[in-house]
Amino acid sequence: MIDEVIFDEIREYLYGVLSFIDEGGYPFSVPLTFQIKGQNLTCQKPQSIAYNFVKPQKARVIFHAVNEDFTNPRQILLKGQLVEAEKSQLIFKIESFSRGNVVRTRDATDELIRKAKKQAQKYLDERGLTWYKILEW
Amino acid sequence: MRGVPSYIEEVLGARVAFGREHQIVEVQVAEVATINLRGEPETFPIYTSYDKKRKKIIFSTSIAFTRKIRNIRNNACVAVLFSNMVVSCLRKFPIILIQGKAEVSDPEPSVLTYLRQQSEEKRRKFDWFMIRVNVEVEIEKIYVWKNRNLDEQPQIIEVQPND
Repeated sequence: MIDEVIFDEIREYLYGVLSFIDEGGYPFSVPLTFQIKGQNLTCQKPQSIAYNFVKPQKARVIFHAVNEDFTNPRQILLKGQLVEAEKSQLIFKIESFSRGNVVRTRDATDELIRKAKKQAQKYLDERGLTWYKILEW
Repeated sequence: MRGVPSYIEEVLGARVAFGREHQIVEVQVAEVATINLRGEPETFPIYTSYDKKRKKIIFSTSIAFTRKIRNIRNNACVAVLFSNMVVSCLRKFPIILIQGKAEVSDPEPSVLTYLRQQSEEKRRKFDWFMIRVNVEVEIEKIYVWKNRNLDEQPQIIEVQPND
């Protein structure tokens, strides 16, 4: 179940970007204005993407924004199932979500840095990039 | 088959300027979709730039956040959507979707020169951010909705690969 708080956040965005895999095996993304119906998102199916055969499949919808002074990048990423209810409408059944907001508190920033350092060293190790060791902090 | 039209290059190469006190940060935020190991799309907002000479879309990511890199190494097919250029200097901004193949380059030791130029405090805190994986996208297909109306058929441009 997606919390109503998340839906309230989604309503703040003008549009979301729907991504799915097209018939050629490439990702295909379009910006769409969604309505919230129960636990689903719905939207009018754009006529121009009909020929790309939007098949029922796992898909993503991302809502993201950055404010004008670049201080607050944020996003909500929804994972779910794309289904075509009728020819003119798309339904995206939300299965899970993740949210990314800029961390503002000192503790949260410190935690982010510690985690990032660990992941960065892991990447260097996995790729055999021995010319650098992530510094202690 | 043809090259990338100049009006498309204008959008790909445009910069969106954000003022923050005494500095201007110039970015172009696009939605980059990759295919994960399960064959599903995964989308990331990413700051991109455009190499006009090599006709490639360029972006990078910290070695701490490499999920998209793992996806690309497994499946090079990507889509880059330029959905919104409202705060750019462009008078008219179409919706542009690029499909192509991405290539990943691990960071090289030359980044150490850059790191040494930073203060020790900055290095200790943000080395994970400053060491980056580079990605170049070879453009194969472009969808353009000139009037930003998705009900209109897009112009579709097949792009000749670079030699």
